[in-house]
Amino acid sequence: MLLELGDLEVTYRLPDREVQAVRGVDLDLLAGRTLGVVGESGCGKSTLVRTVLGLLPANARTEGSLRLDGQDLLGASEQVWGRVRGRRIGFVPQGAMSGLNPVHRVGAQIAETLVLHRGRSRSEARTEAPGWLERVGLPARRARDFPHEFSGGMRQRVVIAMTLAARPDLIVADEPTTGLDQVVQTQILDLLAGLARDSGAALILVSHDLPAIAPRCDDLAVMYAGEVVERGPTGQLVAAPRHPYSAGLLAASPRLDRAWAQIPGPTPDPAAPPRGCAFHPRCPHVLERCHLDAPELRPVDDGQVACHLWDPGRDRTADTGQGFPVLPPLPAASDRPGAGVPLVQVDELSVTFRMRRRHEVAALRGISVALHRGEALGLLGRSGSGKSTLLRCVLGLQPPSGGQVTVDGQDPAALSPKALRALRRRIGFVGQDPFDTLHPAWSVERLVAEPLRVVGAQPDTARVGVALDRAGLPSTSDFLARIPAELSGGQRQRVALARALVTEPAVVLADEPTSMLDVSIRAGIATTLRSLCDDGVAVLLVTHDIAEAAHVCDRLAVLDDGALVEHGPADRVIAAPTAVATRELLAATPAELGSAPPDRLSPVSWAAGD
Amino acid sequence: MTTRRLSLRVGQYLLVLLLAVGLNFALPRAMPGGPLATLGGEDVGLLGAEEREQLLAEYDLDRPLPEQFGRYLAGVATGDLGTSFVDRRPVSERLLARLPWTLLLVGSSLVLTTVVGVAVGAWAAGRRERRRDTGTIIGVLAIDAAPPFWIGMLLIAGFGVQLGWLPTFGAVTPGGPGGLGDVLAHLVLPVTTLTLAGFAQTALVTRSSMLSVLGSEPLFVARAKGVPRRRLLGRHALRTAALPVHTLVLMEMGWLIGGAVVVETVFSYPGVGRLLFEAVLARDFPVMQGAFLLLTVTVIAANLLADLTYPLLDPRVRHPVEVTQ
Amino acid sequence: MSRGADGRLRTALRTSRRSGPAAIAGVVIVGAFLLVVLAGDWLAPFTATERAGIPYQPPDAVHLLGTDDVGRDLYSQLVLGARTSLAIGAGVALLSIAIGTLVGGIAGLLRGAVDTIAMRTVDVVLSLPFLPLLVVAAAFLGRGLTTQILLISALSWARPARLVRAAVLAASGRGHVQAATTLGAGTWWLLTRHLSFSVAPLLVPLVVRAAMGAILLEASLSFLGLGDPQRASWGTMLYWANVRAAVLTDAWLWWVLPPGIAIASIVVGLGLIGLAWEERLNPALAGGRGRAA
Repeated sequence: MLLELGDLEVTYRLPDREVQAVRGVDLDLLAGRTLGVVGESGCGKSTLVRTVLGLLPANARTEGSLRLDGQDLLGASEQVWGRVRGRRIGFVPQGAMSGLNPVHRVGAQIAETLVLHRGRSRSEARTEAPGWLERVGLPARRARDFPHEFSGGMRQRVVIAMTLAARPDLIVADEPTTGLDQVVQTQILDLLAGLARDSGAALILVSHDLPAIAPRCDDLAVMYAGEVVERGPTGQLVAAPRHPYSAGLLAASPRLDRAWAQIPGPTPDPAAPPRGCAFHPRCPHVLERCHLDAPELRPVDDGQVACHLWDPGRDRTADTGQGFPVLPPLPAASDRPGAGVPLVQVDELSVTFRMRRRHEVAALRGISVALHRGEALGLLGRSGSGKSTLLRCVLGLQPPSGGQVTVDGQDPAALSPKALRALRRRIGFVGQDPFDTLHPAWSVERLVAEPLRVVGAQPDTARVGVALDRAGLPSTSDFLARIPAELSGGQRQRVALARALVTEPAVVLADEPTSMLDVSIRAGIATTLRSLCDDGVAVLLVTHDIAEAAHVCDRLAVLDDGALVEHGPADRVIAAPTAVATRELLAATPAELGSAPPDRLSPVSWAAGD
Repeated sequence: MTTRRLSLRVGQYLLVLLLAVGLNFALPRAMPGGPLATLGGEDVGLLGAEEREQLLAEYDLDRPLPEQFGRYLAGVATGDLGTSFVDRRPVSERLLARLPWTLLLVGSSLVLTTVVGVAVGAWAAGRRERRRDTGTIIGVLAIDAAPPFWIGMLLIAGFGVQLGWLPTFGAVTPGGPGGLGDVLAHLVLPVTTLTLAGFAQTALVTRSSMLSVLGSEPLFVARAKGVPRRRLLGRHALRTAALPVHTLVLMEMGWLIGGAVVVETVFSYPGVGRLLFEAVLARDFPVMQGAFLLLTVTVIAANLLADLTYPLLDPRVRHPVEVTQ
Repeated sequence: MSRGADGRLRTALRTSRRSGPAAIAGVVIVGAFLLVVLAGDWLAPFTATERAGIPYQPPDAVHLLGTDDVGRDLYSQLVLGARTSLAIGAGVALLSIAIGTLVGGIAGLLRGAVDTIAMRTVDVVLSLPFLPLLVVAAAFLGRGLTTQILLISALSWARPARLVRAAVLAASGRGHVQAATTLGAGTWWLLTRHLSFSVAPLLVPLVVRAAMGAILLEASLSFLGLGDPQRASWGTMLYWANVRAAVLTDAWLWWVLPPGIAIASIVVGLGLIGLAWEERLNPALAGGRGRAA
């Protein structure tokens, strides 16, 4: 056994309390195998990574065991770790940030690994470093470049080269592709898994994105509230998840071929996990004993699961994927509105940015789309395709270089500031980052009332209450008094939605509203957005995930490099895409994982259409 | 640094010079009693009408203001800073005789404040990881709070008078053998004073810069890569943390010049600062103005040096990337 | 997760406990000096300028710290000197931060050409050697307290202006400000409801630093003989101690030591307050003082 974690517990000491981030984890890994560790925010996966690297912060206390080839490393001296870290256990960090030192050449940073761990002299290492760049698909001559001269995906390649150059026995990758473009994500994961396999190294892939890492893993471990709740071979776990949470997590990733589910309730607060089974408040199969008794991880066939449904003596055929609320199916095409005067009309819209040295960049090239009452339009495209610019034009924040935008028959670019404010009442906006967009010191009540005050309307409690209700939030006095730090991520995004709704807009623009939320609650936000259409609101959903858009939107529009390359009814676009960009987006959605029967989760699949 | 940026900086320094010269021009003319009192010396009141006219003409005071300024500027540009009231020698001559001592004092102090400050700051940052640096910070704050001239006076009382170890007056022993040893012995206390008074700022900036670097992603990756602690603090953290420290040196120069004025005064060190003090005592206005201008030029020269060397530290400036979006 | 007002109270308590001792020490020190300022006439047996005894007298029951070269009571000068230092500190802090906030705020809000001009001006001012310039200016324009406050403020606004501008720019990029912009909020709304929230806490350390710098600058100026001749000043005490070579005799114990300790104490007291405040704003990056001398 290469790596063994035995009943591992990690507790952080904070000034006024203790938080147990990892609560008794047992895991093991054979040499050369790939293990995927999956979980949402606060599940303890980052702490697990830091423990395996021996880099926990000073206020952390550990119990249990961590063995590498039989040697217990938990509480080992820095001297012992010095022979392990980098040399036997390599690390690949998050893709969005740079793990490279900005003031040193990338070649030198790879050479440093060779000197430290492979016994090379400095000159040998310098000669060898460029070869490692070639192994990760970069030209050798770029060894003399500095990190800022590389793109995000290329930097991640350099980090992989730097890590692999030590020829470690184990590579730990912590969300290695988060923050990278979807197409680049696939390349990096393939590169990492391939190189690990070739060098015989074991790999631990830690991620919140189960569909993305599953195809590269031999085994999967699902974590929830600091515990491993299920462990098993990838094929089995994906096809027939035993723990309701694993099943819910799988169903919560939007897919084209089945309904999109959410797990109700918020992800647990690591500081105060629920008693009994930590998942019981959100579990559709909850039993009496789940409230009091924490289930132990016990073997079931070729895997392990911690769930009372699998207690000895119980009927083991329970379909754990059933019972999660799913997004209701879209109305049939014939029932959809769409006629009449459009609420938002984008006509031959062009925007050109002038860069330095008279260099011009066309962000939008002659776009024409329309949005009607009670309809949801999905605006799709890779990052940089012009989606955000289009949104800014509709909001009147970006004057067009050519063409016209009208909202409710008025052109925001042509209005006086006062008339523009009046028009803004008709447009609600929800951004992507619910953690940053709310004033940190304001109460929910004040936050939701702000849009009214900005447009000069009298803020009244009744309207705030209605908006909160439509956004799926309570309006109790306790909730109204909370500040953002006292809300969960999903609640914050719903507060942002309530802010968008409080002026009773005719149009709601949502810019990737689920991208920063935990997977299990995304469908819930989407459901609320979709429900607005039933009230006659027009919804414009900007996203890079075509499966998500397919579950919410009646029509799809695909942007590529500022041009509208595809536009039509959602079912037609999915079934018969004409543009290359659309096919790329479709290819990036997770399809079959293992051998999951496409329809086992719910009778309603999107492809059915009606 | 790109040529464009560099030329912008040079333009800015020229502006600083112009402002300094402009202040020198304007201040005497803003005096309640008119400029003659400060330009002509204290015995102006005793002069007859004819001599006054002559003096006015000598200082171009009978011409319109713009022309006065033009001629004044031309004079400064050719090194004509007027004549000292005290000994009737050209101001520039007196200043240049004092400049080497100030450069010696400030230069050695700059090197020492940087070395000591970076060492203390990095050390404090290393302790911070274990939350034990509060005492260090308060100690540094306390030293920083003491006025430099007071530190100098205490050092004189302690090492000069009570212990009698080191000379406390001047830059060389009058009538003594001279030589390098003598110069260095006279330099010890003034440099110690300026360094004590000046290293705190470098230490605090180094510490905060180190702390933000130590908490950064690249440093975590470097630790995970197995870089030993010493190398981690030095080659990885300090090397990156040096960028803001380098920028600080620029600020520090202006501060050290100010410190040199009072420290030279305490130790009767024959630099430009001491000359400024002597000029204040003697109400020797042309020398005061000349000293101010010369010290401004010194600060600017140091800043320019910092600008030119910064790209050596930061590859992002040395190898700019054309950002296309 | 903590809930409601209870949670906020706990957070506040936690913060104050962490930065506690240093902040309390700072407040106590500065408070003590304020008391000395208020009770100065009662504490000081003589005025700062009267010849109360024979020159060069060592400490005794009448003259607690002895007398100076013309027989003025050193203890009374020490007590009354607090007024000068605190007046300079407070005056410069208020004036320079007011100017700095205005210039930096306008530059950060309007951007464009206004910003460029303002920041180039800041660069120019910061490139001047402060003390030599102050010496020359004071020699020409006089050495009264008001003149000193105006002169020091004229040089001290630049660094706060730059920091306020940076804070305004950083705050403008924050999500809640952008979100309000999307709602159609005007500049005034953004300024009063959103930007001030991020920028205002920064002003406390700026005020403290400006006061610290000003107190040290006044001391240096007075030490060079350019102090207000009508007022007691710690710098002026040290000026006469230096001119009369007090360090060569035992007089350094009562003539040199006390005023220096007074200057260092008030500056440390202010520094501790600033440190504690910055620690609250950003626990990792506390410390540092923009100084001007």
